[in-house]
Amino acid sequence: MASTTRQFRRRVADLQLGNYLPFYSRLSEEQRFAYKLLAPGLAMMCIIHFLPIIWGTLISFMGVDSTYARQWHNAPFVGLENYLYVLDPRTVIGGRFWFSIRQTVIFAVGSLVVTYVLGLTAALVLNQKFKGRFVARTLLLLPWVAPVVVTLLIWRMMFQQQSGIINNILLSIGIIDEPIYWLIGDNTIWTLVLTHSWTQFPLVMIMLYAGLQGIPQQLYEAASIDGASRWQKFRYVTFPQLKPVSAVVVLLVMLWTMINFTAPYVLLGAQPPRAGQVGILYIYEFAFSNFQFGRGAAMSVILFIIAMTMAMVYYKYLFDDDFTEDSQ
Amino acid sequence: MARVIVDDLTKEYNSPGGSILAVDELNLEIDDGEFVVFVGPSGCGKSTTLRCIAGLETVTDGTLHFGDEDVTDQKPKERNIAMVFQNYALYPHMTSRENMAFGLKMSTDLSKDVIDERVEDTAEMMGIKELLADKPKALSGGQQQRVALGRAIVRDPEVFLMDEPLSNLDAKLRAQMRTELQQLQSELDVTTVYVTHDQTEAMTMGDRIVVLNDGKLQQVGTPLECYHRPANRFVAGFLGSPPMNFLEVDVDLESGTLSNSAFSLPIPESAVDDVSGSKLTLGIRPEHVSLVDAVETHAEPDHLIETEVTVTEPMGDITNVYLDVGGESLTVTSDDRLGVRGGDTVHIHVPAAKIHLFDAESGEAIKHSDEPIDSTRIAEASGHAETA
Repeated sequence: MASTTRQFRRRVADLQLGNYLPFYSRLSEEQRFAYKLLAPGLAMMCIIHFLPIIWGTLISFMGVDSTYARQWHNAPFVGLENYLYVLDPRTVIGGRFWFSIRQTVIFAVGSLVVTYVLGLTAALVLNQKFKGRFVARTLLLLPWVAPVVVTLLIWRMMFQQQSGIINNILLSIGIIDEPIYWLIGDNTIWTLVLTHSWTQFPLVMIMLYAGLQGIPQQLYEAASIDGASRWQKFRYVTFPQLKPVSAVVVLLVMLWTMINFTAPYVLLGAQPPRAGQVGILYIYEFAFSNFQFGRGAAMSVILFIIAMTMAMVYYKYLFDDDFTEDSQ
Repeated sequence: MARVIVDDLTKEYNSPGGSILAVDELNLEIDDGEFVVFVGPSGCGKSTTLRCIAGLETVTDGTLHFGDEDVTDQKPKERNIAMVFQNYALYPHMTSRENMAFGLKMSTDLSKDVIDERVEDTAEMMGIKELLADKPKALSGGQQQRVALGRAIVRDPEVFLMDEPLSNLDAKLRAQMRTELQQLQSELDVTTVYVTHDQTEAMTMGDRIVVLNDGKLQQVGTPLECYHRPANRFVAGFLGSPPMNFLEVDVDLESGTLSNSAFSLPIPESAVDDVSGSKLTLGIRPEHVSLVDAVETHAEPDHLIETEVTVTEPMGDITNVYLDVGGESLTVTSDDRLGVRGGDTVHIHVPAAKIHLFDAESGEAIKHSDEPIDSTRIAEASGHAETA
């Protein structure tokens, strides 16, 4: 075993990486070690993320449809035609694409608000000293730990118009007079928001909880002496102190929701009601039902650009400040 | 401004291993405008007492009064106090101005302009006006300290509470802030309770010091009282650096001597009537012991002890000489430039007038040195010396 390792090491050394990569030879032993540790992760990232991004971007400039499905590399180069087509609101497809972008934004912002409020509330509760808080913490993590498809299917059952438990409860306590259509019609986007938030809030909770634990107790004592009430302590100490971790949470939840496929697909199926047609679902339906891979890829790239732009703008204006300003 | 009256204050913490008594029936009266320093080793209950006065801890038993008002069960915000914390506890996300204004904003209904004005006046007084727009992170330790003090001062509280506020500063800055704090306190004339484990701060800053150990009050008095008339062995050993020397001695009332294996000293005249029992602890401050050159012509020949030098520590202005007296270590502080070295045999003089005697078991003081402890007494003593 040891000799195999030694042989392997010698082989790696024989490669003389320094000769091929001038910068590599300038690195200290420690830095080289760091790169070696990073290498497997980076390789995975390349295969899973970077290559598809490049491939998808490539296809978006080509006329790949059912004819070329098996030999995409032979498809003609069409320049920006795919983009112009899907972005033109006057065409049926363009119109539906724009609508799906709108639904995506509602989905993302709605989920963000619900997730954050739920997560923060749960984190604040967990941060109190009470008996059984460790049990509570585990229970609250369940929605996130449970297989997401299972959770979503259960929610789908509960949201059924006739047999679902949610309508039954609401009817029996008299909040509604008639069963609500949760999974068809205009409500679907909100059903989507609620369900997705349910699966995501424990992560937000845990991150904010960690943030809460990091706030020095002395700040609360100082605030007590300064005369702040409970609410004022939250408003002027807790909330601002959570800003750095909130910044991360907001960014992650926004991006993850925008590109989330599982929740809409499991809850609403491949051909969802119009209101539930978020971007990612529409792209999927369009590309894989109609075999319009080129145009589908163009839509994907647009969604990607929207998400990235949002992330960058957000990063520039919020993130930067908050990360230079760590809590003491 | 207020008198602070602590009456039978007791604080117990519940812990898995049983309850811990942090403060044990503490009684104390702090006068209006007085600067009182709580001093003692870690875990002596000084911070806990302060936190009880602040209202950050609930009191297990006893009462607290500010003036005539019973504040025992009041919340911190109802007590009109300001506190400076060891780590300053500035709000990191707020500028210095916001930090200082926060208390006024929360606890008063003053208009923004009035608050601004008060903050600026205080900042001017503290010399931090140009730092008002900066956040704590951009400030040095000393500057943060000033902002924290400013935040306390701007509130114009009845009582200032300070929990080791200087311990995070470097030595030079600490000495400077010590003086400044004293000046500030006397200008503002606000009742101040100051907690420290640093006996230099205790000795130099307080009008009175309160020495605590194991949650129990050991002594309350002016710094010089506590230094020269320690109530017990703990206080004697805690105040002073290097600390007081202690030597266990046997009492022989017949021959009138205090002795151990290395020496035999006459029982000081002033203490003869108070000495009883067979064992005592003799205490003598390092600065009161001197090395003797002319043994034969010495005025108090029976108060000389022959010893061996173990180590010398030249400090520049003074030299600490460590000696071995019958297996016990004894320190002498001298401002002479001494020619002694480790291994030398020397004679030391232990003046009868400067000897402290403590009960060997209880540690209670039986006899004190005759050092004057207040300015009038000092004047008297020096006048006395002149006439003599």
